[in-house]
Amino acid sequence: MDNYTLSELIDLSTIQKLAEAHYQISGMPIGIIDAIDGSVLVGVGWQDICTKFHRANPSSLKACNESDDYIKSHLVEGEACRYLCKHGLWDIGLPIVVAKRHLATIFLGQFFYEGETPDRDFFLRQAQQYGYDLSEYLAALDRVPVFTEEKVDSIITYNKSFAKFIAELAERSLDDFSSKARYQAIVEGFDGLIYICSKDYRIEFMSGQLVKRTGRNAVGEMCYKVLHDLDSICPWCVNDRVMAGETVRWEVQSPKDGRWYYVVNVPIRNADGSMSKQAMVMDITERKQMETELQDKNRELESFTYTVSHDLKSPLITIRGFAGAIKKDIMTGRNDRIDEDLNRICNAADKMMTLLDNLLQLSRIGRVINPAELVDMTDLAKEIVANLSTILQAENAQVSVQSDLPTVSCDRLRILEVLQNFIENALQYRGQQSELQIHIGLREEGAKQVFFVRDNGAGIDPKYHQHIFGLFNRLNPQVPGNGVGLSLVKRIIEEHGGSVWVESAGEGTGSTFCFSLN
Amino acid sequence: MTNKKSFTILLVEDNIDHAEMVIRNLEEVPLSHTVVHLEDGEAALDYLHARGSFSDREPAELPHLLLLDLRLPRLSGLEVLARIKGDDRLRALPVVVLTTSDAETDVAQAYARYANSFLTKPADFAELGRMLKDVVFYWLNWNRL
Repeated sequence: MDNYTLSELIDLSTIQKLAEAHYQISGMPIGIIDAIDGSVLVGVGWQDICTKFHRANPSSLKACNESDDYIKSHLVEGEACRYLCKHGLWDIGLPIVVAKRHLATIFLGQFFYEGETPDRDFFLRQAQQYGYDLSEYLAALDRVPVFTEEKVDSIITYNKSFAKFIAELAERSLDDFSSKARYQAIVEGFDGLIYICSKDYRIEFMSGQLVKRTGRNAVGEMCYKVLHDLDSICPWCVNDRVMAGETVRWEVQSPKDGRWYYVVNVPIRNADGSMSKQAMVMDITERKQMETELQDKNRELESFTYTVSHDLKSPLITIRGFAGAIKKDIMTGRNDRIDEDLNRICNAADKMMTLLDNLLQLSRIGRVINPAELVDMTDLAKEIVANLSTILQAENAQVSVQSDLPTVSCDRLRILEVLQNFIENALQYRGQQSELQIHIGLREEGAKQVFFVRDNGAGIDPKYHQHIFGLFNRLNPQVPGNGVGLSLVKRIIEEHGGSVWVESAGEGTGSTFCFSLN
Repeated sequence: MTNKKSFTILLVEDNIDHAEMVIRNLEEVPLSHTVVHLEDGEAALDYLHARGSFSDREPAELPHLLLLDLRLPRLSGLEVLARIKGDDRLRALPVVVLTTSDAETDVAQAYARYANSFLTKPADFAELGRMLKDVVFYWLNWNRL
C-alpha cells in the first residue's frame, strides 16, 4: 500500500470535533486539506470573505489557488508557513507528513494581526474588480478575526503538535495495516489449515484454506462438528491444556476423512483477558504412509536377510556334511553310498546356484523395469501355452484361455513370467489329479479387472493363502522348487500397483490365483 | 544305564539331506533307539497327537526326544514348539532345536517357547556326529525325565 490517503488511515470525524473545539476556544478558523486531491477533510470557522467572495468567484479564485500553491511549495515538516494572501488576508499552512509523505495540510486563517489596519481601499478595489456586493463584502471583512502576534504564535505551537499527533496516529494505522497484510500473507500462504476457537469450542476464525475445505465460513459454529463431524467434544481435545497457557504439538487421525494431521495449538490471550486456542493443522497422511512403507520395507528386508542367510547356508551344510561323510566312508571302506552322497553334494550346489539366480532376479524386479506397453492378454496367455506345450503334453494338462481378455498396459515380460509361474505351480501342485485343467480368464469386480489362473489341482488350505507368497515358503518339501516363484509374482504385481491372492476352499478343491493390475 | 530300553527319537527336518546326515550320525550312537523322520510341522503334531495319517498310533507312546528344525513347511518349528509346550500331555517331552540358524532372535524365540536346548548344526560331519552323540546321551541316558 503506497498511495493511501489520510482519510483511509484515520477516523477524521474525531479530528473534525477536535478542530471545532479548537475553533471555539481560539476563534481561529481551521481546515485540513488533502494534499493530493485538494479535498476538504476537516473545516470549521471559515470566513465568508473567502468562501462567499474570494473563492466563490472564478476570477478571484485564481488568486486563491496561487496563494494555496505558494504555501504548498513552501511547506516544511514541523514548521508553519505564514503567508499574506493575494486578497490581503493572513493564512498559515502546516504540513501533515506521514511516513515521509505529505498527505494533508492544516490551514489556519484567514485573519488579521492586531494593530495591522486593513487597507480598506484595497478591499474596495477588489469588490469593484470582481463585482462583489459591496456592503455584504465589507461586512464580511469586518467579521474577519483579529489576533495578537503572541496569540497566533501560541496557536501555531499548538497546531504543530496537532499536525504531529495526526501524523503519528496515521503512521500507527499504517503499521497496523502492514502487520495485518503480513499476518494475512502468512495465514493464506500456509498450505495447512488454521483456525481459532474459543474456550467453549466456538470457531472464531478460519483461514481461507479451511473455508475452502469446509465449503463455508463456519465462524460461530462448534469446532468439533465443523472439523471432525462429531456431535460432542473430540476425545483427543487439548483445549484445557491450551487454555491453561500451554503450546501443544500432536498428531491425530480424523474420523471425518481418515487422514493424519499434525496439529500445533498455541494459546491466545485476548484483549479482554479471555483465552482462545489457535490451531495450525498440517496434513501429514503422505508422510505417515511413507513411514509405514519404510517400516514395512525394513521388516521385509530383515526377514529377507534372515531367510536368505538360512536358505543359502542350508545347501552349504549339505555339501560340507556329505564331503565329511564321504571321507569317513572311504576310510571305513563303505564305498556303496559314495556315489549317492556325491549326487547330494552336486544337487545342493545346483540348488544354491538356482537360489542365487532367483535372488538376483528378485532383486532386479524393483530396479529394472521394462517400459510399459499395451499387451493383449489373450495373445500373451496363448504365447505362454505354446512355449510350455511340450511339458503340458507330457504332464497331460489342458490349458484354456478366455478369447476376449482385454489389452492392458504393463511390463510384458514380467506379466508373462507371472502367468508362466501360475501354470508351473498348477503343474507342480496337481496332487492326485490325473487330468489337470487350467483356465486363464478374467472377471470384473466393480471397476476392477481381475485376471485369474484356475486349476483343478491339489488346492490350498486357506490358512496358507498368505504364507505361500512369502520368500522361500513352501508347502510341500517333496515338490521341486525353492519357494521364490510366488514371492517373485507378488513383487511383479506390486510393482504394477496391483495385488495378487489365491482362492481355494482347501485341499482337493483346486486353486484360483488372481491378480489385478493398476 | 537302561541299555535294554529302546528309545524313540522324533526328527522333524524338511531338508532330506540334512535329515540323512543326522540319521547316519545317530546310527553311530551306541544307544538302542529308533528314529522317526517327519518333514513338516503339521505332520509332527499329527504324530504326537496320533491323528491324521498317524491315527493308528498309540497316543500314549510319546517319543523320548524331539529334534526340531525351525524353518519347516506348513507349520514352523517355533509354532510346533509352542503347541507342545502349551500342551499338558506333551510338555515334558524334551525338545532340542536343531537348525542351521544361529540368529539371536531364533535362539530367544525358541527359549521363550520353552525349548529345552538350542543347537546350531555344525557344517563338519564329524562334529555333527559328536554333537548328536552328546545330545542323545545327555537326554536319553544321563538326564532323568
